[in-house]
Amino acid sequence: MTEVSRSTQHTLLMSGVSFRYGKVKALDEITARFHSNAVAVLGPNGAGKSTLLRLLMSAARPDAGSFAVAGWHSDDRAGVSVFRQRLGVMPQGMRLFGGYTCREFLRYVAWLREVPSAQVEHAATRALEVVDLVDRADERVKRLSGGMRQRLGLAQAIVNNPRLLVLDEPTVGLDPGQRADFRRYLARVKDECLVVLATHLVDDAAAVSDEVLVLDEGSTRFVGSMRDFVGHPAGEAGFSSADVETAYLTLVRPSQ
Amino acid sequence: MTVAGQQMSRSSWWFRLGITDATSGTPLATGIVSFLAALTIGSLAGTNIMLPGWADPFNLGLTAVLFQAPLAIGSGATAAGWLLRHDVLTFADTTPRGRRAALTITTASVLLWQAAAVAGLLAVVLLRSDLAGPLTPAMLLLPALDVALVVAMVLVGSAVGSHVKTVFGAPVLAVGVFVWLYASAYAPGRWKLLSPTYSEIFYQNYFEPNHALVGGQALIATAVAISAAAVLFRRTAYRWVAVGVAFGLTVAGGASLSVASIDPVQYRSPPAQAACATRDRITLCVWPDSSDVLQPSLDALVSVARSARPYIAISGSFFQPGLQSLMPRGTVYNVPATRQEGGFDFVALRAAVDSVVCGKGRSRAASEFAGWLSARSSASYYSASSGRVSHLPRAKQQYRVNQWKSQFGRC
Repeated sequence: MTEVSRSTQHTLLMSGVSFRYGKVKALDEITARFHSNAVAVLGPNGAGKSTLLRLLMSAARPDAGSFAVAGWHSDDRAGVSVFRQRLGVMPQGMRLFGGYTCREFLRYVAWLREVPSAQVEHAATRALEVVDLVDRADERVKRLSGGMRQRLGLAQAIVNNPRLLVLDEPTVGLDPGQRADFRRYLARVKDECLVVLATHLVDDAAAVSDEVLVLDEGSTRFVGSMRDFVGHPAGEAGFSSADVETAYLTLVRPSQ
Repeated sequence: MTVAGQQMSRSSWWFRLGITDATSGTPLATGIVSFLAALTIGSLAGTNIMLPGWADPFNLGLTAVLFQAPLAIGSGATAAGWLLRHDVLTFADTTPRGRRAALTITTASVLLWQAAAVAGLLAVVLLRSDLAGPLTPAMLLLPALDVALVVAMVLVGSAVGSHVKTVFGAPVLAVGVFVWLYASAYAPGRWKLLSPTYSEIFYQNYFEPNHALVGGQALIATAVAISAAAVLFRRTAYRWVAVGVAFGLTVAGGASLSVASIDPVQYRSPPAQAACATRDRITLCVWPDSSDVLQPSLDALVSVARSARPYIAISGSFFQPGLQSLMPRGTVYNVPATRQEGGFDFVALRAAVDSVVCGKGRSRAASEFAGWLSARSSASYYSASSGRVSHLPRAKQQYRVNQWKSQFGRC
């Protein structure tokens, strides 16, 4: 029995995970263990963050190694459908359906996630409440501001009450105020599921995450708690962005 | 939470999501364009020259596929391509239902609009047409082929759109389909069998569509639709079944085309009993749905026969085309396409000539005969000016007639 399959105390466990795009190695034997409910994946563009998230959201399979997350093992193809029922995903490039209302869009995602039909309306309302969009439920998505669309993106990711929530650069394109709001909404959901957040914005990681994985050129630069990452415990307001950025820059060269 | 939401069944969810999708975004935009185009074609196409009955309007609907098929394939490719380009399919891959479900909803939305476009065009054309004519099962093959082609085009478009990211995929497909339909309509020889549109057909009431030709094409179109669905929905368990069914339909369609004549029309099966009338030793039988022209046609034939006496004895049986099996020894009588004054006279004259002379020169014979008859009677059969014969003595006239008849073979 592998280490991954024996694991019960870890929220996310990766063992020798590798992935290639043709001849290009995107991930090189990533091994990491996480215990908390909020993991940030940091790294510059092209570091392999989105590739790692693709694996975690079961959109691709590792070429080598395996991982276990939210009670699912990556080698368990028979169980992937059940895993996906309790998976929330907020992809970076996905365009929301502009012609749908917010509630219609959440119904659509709930249906894709196989939320029982009797629970769909309740689930959609609950998700809209979390991101403070209930009063916009019947508004067309195309009429929402950029910040509201990101909140709706988070709502669709939690409409199925996920055990694993995967967010890929969720605050890109938002102004500082919208980003602060978004982190506030994210804080509401991270107690109920494992949040894996890929970002190159260190203040997002500082605000949300308890543990950190730093990738660079497909390899691991750091794995551990945020406290170990910045070198001191969190203050009353949490970890400061400046501390996280300093720690990050010592691992990843600024030129990159 | 609403009670309605709680009690919604699985199929209701499919329906509800389909309606939502069809009334928003790309499916709505392409659907409105297709629907308006269909209504425009249906409203502007000329129906005044079409013959009574259902075949001509149905054929007009099928001919409109020349424009509807490019719109259908373009709509499918645009809608599915949108899902692909904006990562909705990648997102759907992370859900239990997968991209198949997302594509199903969107393709169904496009199909809904295209079905509305086909139905709208046919409805407008039928409303503008004279439907007081026959409706046979073979005629229903025309709209069946129409629907099969449009469904196939939507599914092929969606299948390509879900694999090709470029925005040029849809226009390239649409232009390609238009070129195929246009070029195949003018293809030489038996290549024409591959053209699913038959313009410039006027279905006399004794004609119906060539069921081997139209049916074969409908089978092949259905096979294309099933193949595209197998590519589109990626359901491995059903893929081989779909491939098998598509192969079977292709073989059946090909076999049907191989025995089909290139002529897109054929005679209808003759009725058990034709509508017949007899007077002055002339019997005329027409299709039951032409019984309204039986008496004027018989009047014209009798008038011709009386005018020709005593030099030419015209008698016997005449029948409308397609009734040969009921009257094997008769002569064909073509009911005029338009019920204009004098129209019956000329077709009666032509039938009378055909009953007297045979051979290649019967058109010339009819012309000369018309001229001779015009001079003998008050009827204006033809614009010939050969009135001189009427002044000749009877023996001379008989001599002229015998000379005229001797130019042609005896029947």
